[in-house]
Amino acid sequence: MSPPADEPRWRRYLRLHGRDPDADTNVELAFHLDERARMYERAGMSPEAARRAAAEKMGDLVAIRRECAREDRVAETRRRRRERAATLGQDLRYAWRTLRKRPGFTSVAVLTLALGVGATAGMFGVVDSVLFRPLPYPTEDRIAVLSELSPEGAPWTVAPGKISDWREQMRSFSAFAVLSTGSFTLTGAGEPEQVAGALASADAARVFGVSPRLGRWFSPDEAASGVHAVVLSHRLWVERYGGGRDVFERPVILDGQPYDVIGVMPPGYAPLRPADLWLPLGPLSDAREAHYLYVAALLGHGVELDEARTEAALVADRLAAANPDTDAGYGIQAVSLRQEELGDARPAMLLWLGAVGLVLLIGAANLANLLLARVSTRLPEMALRRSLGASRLRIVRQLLTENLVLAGLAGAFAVGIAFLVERGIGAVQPGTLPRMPDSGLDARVILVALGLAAVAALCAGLLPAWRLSRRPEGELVGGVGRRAAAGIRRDRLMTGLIVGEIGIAVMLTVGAALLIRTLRELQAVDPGFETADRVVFRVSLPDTRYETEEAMRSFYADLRRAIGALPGVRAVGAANRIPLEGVPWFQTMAMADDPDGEAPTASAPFRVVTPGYLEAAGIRLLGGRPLDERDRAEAPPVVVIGRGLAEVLFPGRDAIGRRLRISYGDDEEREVVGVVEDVRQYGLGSRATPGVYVPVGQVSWSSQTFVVYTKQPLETLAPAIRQQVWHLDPDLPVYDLATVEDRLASSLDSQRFRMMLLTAFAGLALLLGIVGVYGVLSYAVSQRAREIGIRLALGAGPGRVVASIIRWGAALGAVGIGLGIAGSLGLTRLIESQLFGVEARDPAILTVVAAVIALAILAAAWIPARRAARVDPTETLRQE
Amino acid sequence: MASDDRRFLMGTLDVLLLKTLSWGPMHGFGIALWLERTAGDALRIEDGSLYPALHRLERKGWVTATWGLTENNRRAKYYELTAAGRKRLAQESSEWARFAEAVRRVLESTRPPVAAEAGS
Repeated sequence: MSPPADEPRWRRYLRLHGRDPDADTNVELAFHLDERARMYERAGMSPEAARRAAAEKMGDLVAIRRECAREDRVAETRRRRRERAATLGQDLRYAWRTLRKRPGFTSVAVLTLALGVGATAGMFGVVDSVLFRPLPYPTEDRIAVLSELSPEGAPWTVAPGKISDWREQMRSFSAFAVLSTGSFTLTGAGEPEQVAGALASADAARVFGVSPRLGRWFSPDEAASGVHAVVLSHRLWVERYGGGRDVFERPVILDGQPYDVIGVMPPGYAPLRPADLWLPLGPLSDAREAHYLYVAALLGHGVELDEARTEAALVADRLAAANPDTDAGYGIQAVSLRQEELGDARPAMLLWLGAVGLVLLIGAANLANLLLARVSTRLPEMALRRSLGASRLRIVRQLLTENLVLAGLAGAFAVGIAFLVERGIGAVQPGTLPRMPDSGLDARVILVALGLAAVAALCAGLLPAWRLSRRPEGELVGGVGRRAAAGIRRDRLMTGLIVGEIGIAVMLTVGAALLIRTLRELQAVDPGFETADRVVFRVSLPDTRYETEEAMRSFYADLRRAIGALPGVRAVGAANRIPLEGVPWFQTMAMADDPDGEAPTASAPFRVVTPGYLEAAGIRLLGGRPLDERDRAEAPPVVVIGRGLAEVLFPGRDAIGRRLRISYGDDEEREVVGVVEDVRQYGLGSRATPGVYVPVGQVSWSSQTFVVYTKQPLETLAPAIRQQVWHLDPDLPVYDLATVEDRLASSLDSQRFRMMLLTAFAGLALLLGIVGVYGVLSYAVSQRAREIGIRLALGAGPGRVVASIIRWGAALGAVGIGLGIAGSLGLTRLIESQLFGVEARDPAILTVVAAVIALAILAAAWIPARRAARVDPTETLRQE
Repeated sequence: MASDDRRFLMGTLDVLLLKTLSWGPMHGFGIALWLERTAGDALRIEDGSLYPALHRLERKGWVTATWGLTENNRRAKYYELTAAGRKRLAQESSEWARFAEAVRRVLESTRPPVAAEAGS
């Protein structure tokens, strides 16, 4: 059925119905009529009778012509289509041959494009899967996250007393999900484990549009009464309970209490806060000032978020008027779920996308330059084709087909690179992104890679193709190339592209250098505590089993003794929270003997510590004594404070021996027995601030982080620690076990991630920029070989030739670097917020980057310059 | 009913033309003569109906056409069977043979219908 595919090309020139198939048909039919009439005449008819008989035998001529014409028309369209395909095939084959003939050019062009496109597509994949994919909640678009707005305008968690008012008065919403977070000790079925959980209202599954994968969610009665029922996360169900249906058969032990498993949620369900299990919320108190609830609400049918916001503002005003003591000044904030979950990541990710887009720009500019450089070598070939009658359009099409082949090759590589980029980013720092990027390739990324490659290659190729297709202006075909070569040096376009490339590379490198310096500065910071040879872990005593302060105290004392007795342990101590661990609990304090009430007050992180903690953590004692075994419940109340507190509370005086009143529990007065160095409590990038340390013997706390000072490696210490804890209490999980060094390092994860990303982009940009400089210069040298040969023949030393090429490279570099530095100075705003210990305009960094890039450019210029000096004058002259 | 007849005839004409051309390249008039001579009066084919059919075969790629000169030096369009046309001819002729054989068996049959077939 298919037309002969192997129709020889020459047949086109013998085309039957070239212009007018109808005329052909007329000739064909006339021939038939003539022959038939002649036959009848030979049989004896008169000429007229023969003609008539022939016409009669033929039938309706008009109808025949019409039918033939119809067939011919269809045939003609098909033929044209086939021809176009054949032309394309011809162009493709020709392009492929041309590219294969210049493997150097082709591989550089393909690689330069593939690197830019691949990095961009990979980055797009990450941004797409993190920012733009739907959240795992079907009702995503209809959910608003509600918070209270403090009088200072900061979003706060919600107080339980307000929930019923909100439910009653906010008509914009059809359902409210209320959650509060908690940490639970999970025992039975394997090692004890500390898991993050949430107490949830009955609507928490419906609001998010998610039904349990197995079983059911809490009924309103269950949620309100707080029965012992639990819904598990998919992860917990699979990892701890083997993912079987028998999970419903046995209760789960949480904090020593049995809970019936009633459901398992699908993977990805963890709205508002990460959690591995959900318990019924239980009755809410009517407290209006304790803020701890997370609230999300489902917009009613046809209600827009803006309308809900307006209503929320009204409700806030009404509540403030009704409860002036507690609610005055508070507002209600409603943001979309997407904004809440991903809003923070957005600017940074779009910035990365911008940075990697610059790399793509460099790649495309490089390709354009490579193609422009080839313009002059190919002019004779194109001039020949023009003079043989090829139209300008035909030549442009041919050249763009070449670029499409390049784009295809580059696109294929780029897909691979994109895959590696995505995998790499996913593997390096999942924790710094609000959700995991997909590690697999998907159709969107592949499409973006191929599309970008095609667009970049076509854009880069359009101008060179246009130039190449110019009508030769009466010049000898052979002479065109050389004339163009002389002009190359003054080619503004090529120069502009290369200067722009260098400028972009400089900007990205400056950014990367600033981030590297930031990380260095952060790592060099003295945190105020020791980081080497320290292992930390955390235990939480469930109050269902440790009901009295005595029980908790004796457990911690026993554990401290047991760990201290392990071989190689030099010191051990514990605190309710150590620096860099969550948000500290603040307490306010003031000098106790203050008759006028004018003494300054101060607040500081409240650390409840065991004896030995300050030594084990390596927090330096500046005066007095550390807390030790003496500081029991019956002993006089004491406190150790940070230097900063001493300076604020007792300016110019010795703090030791003075008394403090701390607003905790019974407001007891405490005697300051020691002063210690300030500590970076929130991270290496934060200021060192003082803490206030009270003995665990006098203030009880149910969970403690232990710090063990030992030369033993974590691998040998970890099992020993677990063994000691479980020896004392087999149902107690040991969690967050790590070295202090690891914890510090992971506190810098996001900085390191940003640094690595920008450094990779900058390295790529630099590499591409240098390849570009090298390519343009070596091309120019090859084109000017004749001129150079003449100069050498006229007695110019090779040194002068080398110098002239290098001078040109240096000029390109100088302008590019100048532009890049100017750009960096102009864009400081973009990066300032991510820096630490270094100014965005740091002159040393700008100088070093400029110097390094200048050297790289000179090196790139050196190779073609050397080649120029080796030009053989006799040979180049003979070529004329 | 008329259109069915026409389609049947068209298909028939196609295979006749392919068969004619299997002897070698011919122009339209030559084809008409050969068919007249071979089929005699049994098949009355209007000269005019040959041409749309030939153009259709050309469109389908079963024949190609070239301009040539007749023995008395007139320009005429010669049709020639392509490889695809040859294949088509083989296919159609075997179908025709099967069809004709089936019709012949029915018409020459000597056995009467059995009881069930007679609908009793």
